[in-house]
Parts: sequence; structure tokens; C-alpha cells
Amino acid sequence: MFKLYEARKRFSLFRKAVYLAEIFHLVSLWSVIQTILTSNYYSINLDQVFFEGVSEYVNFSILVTSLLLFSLIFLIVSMTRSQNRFFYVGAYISLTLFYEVIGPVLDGGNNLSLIVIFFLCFTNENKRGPFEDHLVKLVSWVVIFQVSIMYFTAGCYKILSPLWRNGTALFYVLTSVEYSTPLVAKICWILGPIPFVLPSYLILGFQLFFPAAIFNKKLKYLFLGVGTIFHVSIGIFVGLPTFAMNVFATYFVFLLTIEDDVLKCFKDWTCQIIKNKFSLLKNRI
Amino acid sequence: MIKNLLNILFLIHVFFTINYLLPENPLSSEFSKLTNTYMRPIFHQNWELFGRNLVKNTPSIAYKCSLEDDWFLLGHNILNKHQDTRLLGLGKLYYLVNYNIRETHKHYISLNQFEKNPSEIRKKILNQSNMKKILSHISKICKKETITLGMALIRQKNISEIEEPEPHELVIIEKFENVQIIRSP
Repeated sequence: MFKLYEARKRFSLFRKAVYLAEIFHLVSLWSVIQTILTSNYYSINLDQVFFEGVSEYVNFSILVTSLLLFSLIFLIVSMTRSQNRFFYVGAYISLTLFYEVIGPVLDGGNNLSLIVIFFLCFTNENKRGPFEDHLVKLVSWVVIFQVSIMYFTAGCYKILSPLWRNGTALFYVLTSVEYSTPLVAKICWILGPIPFVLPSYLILGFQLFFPAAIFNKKLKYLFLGVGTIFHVSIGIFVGLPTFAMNVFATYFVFLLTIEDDVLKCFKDWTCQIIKNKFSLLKNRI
Repeated sequence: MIKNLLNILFLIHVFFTINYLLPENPLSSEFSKLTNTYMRPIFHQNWELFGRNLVKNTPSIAYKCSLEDDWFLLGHNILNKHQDTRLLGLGKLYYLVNYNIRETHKHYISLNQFEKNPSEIRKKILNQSNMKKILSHISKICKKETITLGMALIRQKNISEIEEPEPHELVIIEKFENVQIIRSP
């Protein structure tokens, strides 16, 4: 089924997924920001958190809503019908400004997607030519590297912390105040820590072996499936749906057959260098 | 030619990102200045938060509008709303509302290290700027000038205490009874 798509079409699918996840994130932020701005009950300490230095010059609510609207418009246009790099760059700039203003309301997912959107500015898969093709390949490599290094560092830090090493961390996450619902917490408390030991080691293994596994054609799809289940359950049980969406959107880049397409360009490149050096050596001899 | 240059740029990016993200090692400390200047504004990322030790004691503030009432937790309605509707992202809002609470708890801990006299500690805490905001917050909720409040911890129980049915318990560290709120004009 996947062979029907060209690499370019798959890349545009990836681009749309990333932008769609970001739109979802912005819509969820919209409701939060509206409650902050409109309700008197919340506004007692929130403006103090937000405003430092900004409040004297600009009206905060106008600034925030206009930035949010700008980034939404840019994202929607570049997702649906744009073949123009201007909209990609505009989306990136307005998003960075928006996130700079509302700093403390963010989770880790926006960080990842901002980096990905930055690299997406440099490519346009609708244009054709050897240079553009090379750019598409390089950017997909950068995103693949970015996602795998994210998983690997998370795994490294997890292994360093004692709770993850003795297999009780998942239990404590699912019974904590901020990351769990009362119902889930009570069910976990009744079940006890034993059923959560193997899954927490599974998460460790998944995160540490992810960078290696994506180079194998069969293991890649297995790991992507496990990751999908992992992120869906994060979205439902841990209460971070936007983070889960943002990370899941980057999975579409793995649908590009990196074994065939992208690795080949590096092979060609290294082969050329070796050949040139050998020819130089021959000439000298 | 340009293609080769781009490939080299990619490899440089990989090198700096690895240096920036992995736990402290001799290599990253060698190039720390360069990596920071390369990564900071655009590529800054921090995935350490997925692996850090969990906080088992969540600081919070409990209050009573009158002495006969039960303890209420500040921001509890946002937390309940967040737990009902996950997709609205209200957990972030709860985090923000807890900002002053976390600050006062930090202040309380640092005061306890240096100050021995308990009445002095209580005075200093009630005069702290974050605590004043909390007091006005509570007085707005209760619509009263005198309130009772306590510094509290929501303690997550250990696995060894598993016989009890509730996973959390409220521990009140410091009680302030009938605090008078002086409104600034």
C-alpha cells in the first residue's frame, strides 16, 4: 500500500500532519487563554506571571489573541492550499512569538514541533529539481534524528533515576495528583504496583532502542506501532493530549522509506568522496 | 558542491545536538560554550523532564472560610475541571495557579533553615508578596476579611502503605487561624 505513494507525497503528508497537530494544540490553548483573560477568578495571579515587562507597553490580551490568530491562519493556509514558502516561514515566526509570550502554559510537545516547523521552512516538496529533492531528503533526516535523539535522551535520564530503575515509576505517575484522574488513581491503587512493572521497563526499552530500530524495515513498523499505543495512552491517562498529538505527527516522516531513499544519498556522497580521493592518489602515483 | 556543504552542516547539527542533550560527559563539557551558542535560541530543547524523579509531595494551600468548615484546597475546582475534561488543557492553568503556592513553599523551606523562632517564621511568611496574593485570592472566594488557612502538602503514599484505600492524603504543616486581611487602597 505504501509503495503507491511517492516520497514527495509522503513528505507532504508529514508536513500536513505536523501543521494539523499544531492547529489542534493552538485550539486547545485558545480555551485556556480565554479563561485566563476573561474570568476574574483566575486573573488574580496569572497576569503577574505573564506580564513581566510586557504590560507597560502592550495590551496583553490583544497581543496574545492576535498572535494566536496569525499563527492559526498561517498554519491553515500552509496546510491546505499553499505552495509558497512565505506561509511556512510566517507560521514559524508567528508561532515562536506566540510561545515566547505565553511561556509557562506550554508542555514539551510544542518544543519538538517548533524545531520541526523551523526545518520545514527550508523545503518545498511541490517544487521539482535535484536540489529540492536533496533538501527534502536532508530535512526528513534531520527530523528523524531529532525524534530519535529525543527518545534516546529521555531513556537515558529515565535509567539514571531510581524510580524508573526499580520499575515503580509508571505506578507513581498514574497515581499522582497532577497527571492522573481520581478514577484511574484508585484503580491503580487497587491493582497495586505489580502490573505496572513490565510496562515501565517496556517504555525504557522502547525509548533506548528506538534510534537503532528505525533502520530495520520490519522493526521500524513494530516500534512505530508501540509508540502510537504509548502516545495514545499518554494522551488519555496522563492528560497530555496535545503533547501526544505533536509527537505522533512526526511519526509520518518515518513512512518515507529511509532505507532506500535517504540513506542512498549519503552513500552516494561518501562514495564520491572516496572515489575522488582514490583518483587523486592514482594520479600522484 | 552546495549539496556537500549542506550535508556537512547536517553532521555539525547532529554533533551539537548530541552534545547539548545527552547527560553530562567529558565531551559535552569540553564544547559547552560552543554548543550553547549554537543551540540556544532556535534549537533549545530539554528532554530531561521525561526522566526526572517524581515529586511525591505536591505543595498546596488549604483554607477555611469559617472555623467549622472543612478544609478546601486552593485551585481545587480547576483541578477537578481538568480531571473531567482532559482535552481543554486546564492542567496547565492549574500549574499556573499553583505558581504562588510553590513560591511560598520555597520561601517557607528556606526560612526554616535559617530561622529558629516559629512566630518570626509565621510573621515573615504572611508578609511575603506571593502569600499576600494568595490571601487576597482566598478572601475574594470567601467574601470575608478574616480567614483561616494552612500550608499543606498533598502526599502521595508509598507502595508499602497499600492497605489503605486512598492514594493521597492531606498533610497540613503550618496553620494560620483568623488572619486579618488588610486591603491595599
